[in-house]
Amino acid sequence: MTLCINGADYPMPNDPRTTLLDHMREKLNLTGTKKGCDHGQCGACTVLVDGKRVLSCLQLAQTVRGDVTTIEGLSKNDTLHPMQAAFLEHDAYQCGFCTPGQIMSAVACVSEGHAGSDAEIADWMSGNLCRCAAYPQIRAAIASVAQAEAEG
Amino acid sequence: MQGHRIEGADKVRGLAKYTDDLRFATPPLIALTATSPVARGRVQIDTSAALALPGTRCVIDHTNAPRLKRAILISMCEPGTRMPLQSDQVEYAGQPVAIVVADSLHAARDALAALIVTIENHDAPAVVLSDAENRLKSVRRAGIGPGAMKKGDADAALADASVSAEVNAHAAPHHQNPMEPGAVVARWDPDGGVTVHAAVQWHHLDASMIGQAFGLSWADGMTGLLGRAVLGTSGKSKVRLHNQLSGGAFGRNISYLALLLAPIAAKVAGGPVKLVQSRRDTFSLMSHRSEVKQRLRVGADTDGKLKAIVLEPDIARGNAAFVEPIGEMPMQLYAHDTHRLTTRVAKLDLPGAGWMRGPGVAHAIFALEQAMDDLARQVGKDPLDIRLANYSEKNPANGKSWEAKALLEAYEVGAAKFGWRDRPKGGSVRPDGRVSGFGMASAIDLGRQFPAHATVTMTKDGRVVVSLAVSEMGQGLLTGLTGVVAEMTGVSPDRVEFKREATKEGYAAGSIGSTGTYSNAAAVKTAVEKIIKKLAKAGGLPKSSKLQDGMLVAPNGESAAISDLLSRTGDLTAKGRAGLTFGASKQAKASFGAVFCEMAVDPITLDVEVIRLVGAYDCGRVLQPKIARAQLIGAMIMGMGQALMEETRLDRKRGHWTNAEIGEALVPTQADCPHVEAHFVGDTQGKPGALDFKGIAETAIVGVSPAIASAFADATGGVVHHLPLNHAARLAAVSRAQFSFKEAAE
Repeated sequence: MTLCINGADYPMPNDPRTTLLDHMREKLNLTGTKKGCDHGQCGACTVLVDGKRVLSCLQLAQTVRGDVTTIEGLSKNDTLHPMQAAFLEHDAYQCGFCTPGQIMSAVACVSEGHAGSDAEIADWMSGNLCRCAAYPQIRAAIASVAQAEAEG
Repeated sequence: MQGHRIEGADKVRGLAKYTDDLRFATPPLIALTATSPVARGRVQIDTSAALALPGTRCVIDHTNAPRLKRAILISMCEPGTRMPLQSDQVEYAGQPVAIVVADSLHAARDALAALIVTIENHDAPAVVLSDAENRLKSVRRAGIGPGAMKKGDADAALADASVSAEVNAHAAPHHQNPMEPGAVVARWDPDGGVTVHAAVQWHHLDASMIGQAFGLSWADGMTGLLGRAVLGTSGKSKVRLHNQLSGGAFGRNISYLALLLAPIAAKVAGGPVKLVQSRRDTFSLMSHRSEVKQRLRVGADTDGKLKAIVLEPDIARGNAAFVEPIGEMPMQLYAHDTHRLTTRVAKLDLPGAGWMRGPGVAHAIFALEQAMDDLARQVGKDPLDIRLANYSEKNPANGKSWEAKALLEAYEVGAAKFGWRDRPKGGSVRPDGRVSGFGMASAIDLGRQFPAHATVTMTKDGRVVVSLAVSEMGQGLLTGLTGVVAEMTGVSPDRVEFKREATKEGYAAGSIGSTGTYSNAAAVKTAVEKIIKKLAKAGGLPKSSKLQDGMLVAPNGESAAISDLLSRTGDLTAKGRAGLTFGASKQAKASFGAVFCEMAVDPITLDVEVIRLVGAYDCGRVLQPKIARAQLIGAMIMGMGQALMEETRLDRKRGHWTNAEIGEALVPTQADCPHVEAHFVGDTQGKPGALDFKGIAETAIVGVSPAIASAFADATGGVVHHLPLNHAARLAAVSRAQFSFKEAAE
């Protein structure tokens, strides 16, 4: 069995206790995904599995079924994903530690159709803590991507 | 891309490296820390089961840890008082009692779980002020602030005052909780020196701490540190501290224990070690903002003009010299005739307290503003008008004039943007059935300057290289300083390079107290001015020439291309220093602000929602408006957290934090976040040629908690003197006020 992350196949860990987060960070050198609490409380480790938001610190690697996308797999070559570009443009980060999780969550927030209004974005992004509190800028970045997609 | 943070593209791509993301040719062993479950006693550790595990390399406790020397620490953090793993004495719950070192993170976790930690003879701790009356002692100094102050006979003036108010404010302890839990990598080098990778806020200070603890070289001791701060010489440091990006800090990443625990582990393990902190670890291996009680009494005349301020804080401190500097600011905000400050401090059985955004001032202004609101109610004035009535053109504590003070403009702009004068009556019912409340408060934070030494090189190929060991924690310092250098040298920002990571780089002022940009920019400016003189000499132009757009331009318009001049002189290097007098001046310097809050209160559940926060701030010259505004907004939201939810609770019997997780020691989430506006006032352009920066983030946390408490009182009549304004405090206040929502609705 292998793990498909960002389109590449990686070996599963031998130890069944290994979380997806630890496996990626400690064994696969995918350190873009961050560990802020290790308890599913902060959202910094958010990745997508088949497009759905998953807290990689709560997911045992051996139980992952589906394609994992991390922050490293979001941009194609040197071209930023529209959400990454929007975060940059709206200054939607300060220290940057929660940012990979925020961006993965934001991508799903839009694709789920939960970015219809400022209040809706706020509700559906509340699993991702940002202690620098770049919250208004994060909402603005997400709204701009949602709007651009709506305008097609 | 123009206008973005320098490290921004890396951050949004997940490529920015924090300490735990670093990879090395020789992968470090992994270390985890075992901490004491109780506050007092003697520790004994049975390591046999842990050592028997195949992945365990070693276990270190007080019996085999290297002996560390005392360190003199001007940060006043815990290692200045007690070094870790030096005795079997336990003095607080969460104290490090052992380190396990193993081949992998998993193996280290297994080893940690296999340790048997026994605490003998543990007696009852005192971890809250109400259990430590007998430990309170009067102090003349409270950390960096005064403990005692006196102007006139404040007690007599208070007794004679027509109107008086008393506030008994209580603030629970809370934690900075930046998003990065943090790790420290350490490796001992063949020459007896140590290489450390970590995120610190004040590079040379913490390099010196490590050097002092391990007795490495005079250059790493206090003498060496002072030499570096005063003379700028680096000496032969044996501490190679590589400062990494910090995933937030807010005062926490100063002189913390892991900076010593990792080198201890590496020494015993005999190889490179990465010590990883869990979120829970950070609650006791790093600092917190301590519990503070304040009895504040003010007296005024019938117009509400202050005659007397009597402030009597009781402040908790843990196992560090640091004391929350409550007394520093309250006497500097409003005009008054007399004051008295009498501070008492109790040492509690807790981890060392330390720095957190708005140290002292965030709590102190909460109490003062509550008293101002009380006076306003008594004399029948609007909260804004009583503050205008007590406006002081000079610093009321020392009579100095202010270098710049746009507080009146802040009141005016903030009130206009908020619609303060046209606000509905407090207690009026909103369409959704909730009750409205409106509050406001002033903000202030002193401007300070610290020594810095920058070495600037202009190269023949058109780059500017600055050697200065500054910290980037998300505050945007790198981007800000790069902008300053680009402006001074006329070079495009992408040609400016900072060498900031290593201890051998220039002595930088720490990123503390919102002083980093100003203090460090001042040193860079001095160096650039020297380079201009050298270039002017080479080009036969006057010394008053300026660098712009690749040219050296004389006041009479005559000019020469910098590249031509540099091809003649070769690369030019100059050292610049500033801040040796700590910004001593005949004038006082501070940032000012005014913040306004709209709140909705559910009349049945007493749930509160901050609807709007509008602030106007005089932070001097604004170099990068986007980044500066982000700092203000972030600090305002953190101020809302301080007001409504941030509280780390203690088990009074065992002495440990009971909610030491980031999902349990609550911080604001996206859904908590109100509509926030931050406006700049004052001289945002600065005088030509002057730096004119003032602090930003520390000022913006100040004033938010009193504005929110004020809005709650406006809505319900319930005056809350407790921080945070949690549900119990709100309920008690409303009960005291015997407030009836039904009557208010009618």
